[in-house]
Amino acid sequence: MPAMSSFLIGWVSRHVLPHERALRTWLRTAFPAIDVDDVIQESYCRLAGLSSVEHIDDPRRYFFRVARNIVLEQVRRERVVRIEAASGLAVLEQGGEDEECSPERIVAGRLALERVERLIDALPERSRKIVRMRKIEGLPQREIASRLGLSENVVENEVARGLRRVLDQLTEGERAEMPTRRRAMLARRTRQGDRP
Amino acid sequence: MSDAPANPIDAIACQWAARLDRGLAGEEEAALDAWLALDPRHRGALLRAQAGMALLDRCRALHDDDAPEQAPQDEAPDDHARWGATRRQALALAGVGVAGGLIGAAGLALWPQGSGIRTRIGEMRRVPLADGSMAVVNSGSELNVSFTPRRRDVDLAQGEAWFQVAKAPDRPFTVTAGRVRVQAVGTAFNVRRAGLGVDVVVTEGTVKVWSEGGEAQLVKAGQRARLDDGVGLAVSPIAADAAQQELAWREGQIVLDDVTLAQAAQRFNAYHEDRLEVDPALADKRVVGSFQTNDMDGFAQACAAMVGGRVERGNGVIRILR
Repeated sequence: MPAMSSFLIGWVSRHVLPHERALRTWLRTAFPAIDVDDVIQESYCRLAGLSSVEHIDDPRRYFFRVARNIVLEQVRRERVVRIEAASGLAVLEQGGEDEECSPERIVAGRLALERVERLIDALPERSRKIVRMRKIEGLPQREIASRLGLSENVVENEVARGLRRVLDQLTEGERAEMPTRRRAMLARRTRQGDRP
Repeated sequence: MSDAPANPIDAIACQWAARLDRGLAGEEEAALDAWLALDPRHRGALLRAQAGMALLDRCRALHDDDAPEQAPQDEAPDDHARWGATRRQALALAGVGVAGGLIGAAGLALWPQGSGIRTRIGEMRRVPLADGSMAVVNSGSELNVSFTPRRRDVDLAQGEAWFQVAKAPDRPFTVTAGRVRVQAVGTAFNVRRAGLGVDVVVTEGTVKVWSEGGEAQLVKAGQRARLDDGVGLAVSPIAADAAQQELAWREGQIVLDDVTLAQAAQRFNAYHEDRLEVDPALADKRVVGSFQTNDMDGFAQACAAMVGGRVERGNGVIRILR
């Protein structure tokens, strides 16, 4: 099977992933009893099958539409899907078209990246250190392993675990941004003179 | 958040993204291909994980230029949706007894003693009774209330009502529904008549139920007693969420849990002068959903979407057609 196109990966990273959280919220509200994880997974699966994304003007809307269609197909297949009919169909038609000005709209922007970095900083100590060395300082895995006296395998596992945590929090909220980390972050920001 | 993978596919996909990030060894490529071939969803999960990895890479850009940093925006934790779900579950768990407490009695005068209560089709009424009890009367029902210092008698002539009975040990509260009697001291229960059948669901405490000439049985919260035409009274357990669903009418809702479209239409028609008709070809299709009793149109549309039909209207009839 051919490797995933790096163009598609970049496009999803800039234009789709930052909206996953909003999509999850919308799905949960519009269809309280569907398996949101299942629909999200299926949505990415469809995106993975795209041979080009040039025809997609509004990726956020496209992403919402894909998910909505998956829900509808499940309904038609008579799988057990509960619809809040009172608002269900109306919402169905508007899916993903509101929140024009939500912060997530500014997807490739600095704010989105700063949020990701805050999530990295909120990782458990070893994971945070390794992810920072690997992703922000750009050190090779082997070098990180030798510097920290760890096996390459451990380094790789920490990167994977860190990635999963950041993804979870990026798409589900900020539950695990620990207060201590927050304080450290604020201190750092203050040092940089961003905020009083 | 615990380290237990909420979704094992995502955890494995992140592992592969980390390996792809440092470069795959020869034999790993075959292993990745095998994993991707195992389930079409794996490819989607890998795309998501690699996109996440790309996002991490782009953080480096924050440190690569000297542009003045904008103050990071404080985003409120987006917890309301999850909270909503939790609250719903909590309500379901707390059982139907809770719902009684939610029913507002604002603006309602006490119902005079010894009088009748009648609801039109589509009407649902919350009626505080003179003794402090509450009756919630469903669409198309008729009730006659007769209170004396010694007894509290309610005759359910037709339809359905839920009662939350004020405690008064020396003044029994008895509901008559055809041949069935339900007696409570301080408790909550629902009585529904359909044809000659009577269905009692107890949501709080214990009631005594008997049918004329028969022996009394104690029916507890979480149980139902049913009298079908010509058959004796049968007591059976009812799950809390099933009871919750059956009593959703008190909040103006119909909850359908995997019933046929024909049965669903029948439930809906109890609330409307307009008729909902279902193409016989679709009558046996099963539907699931929770609906506002007053939104027949939305119900018809949702059902049509579920079973792959269409909706036609005219002359007080809404038809779901193939």
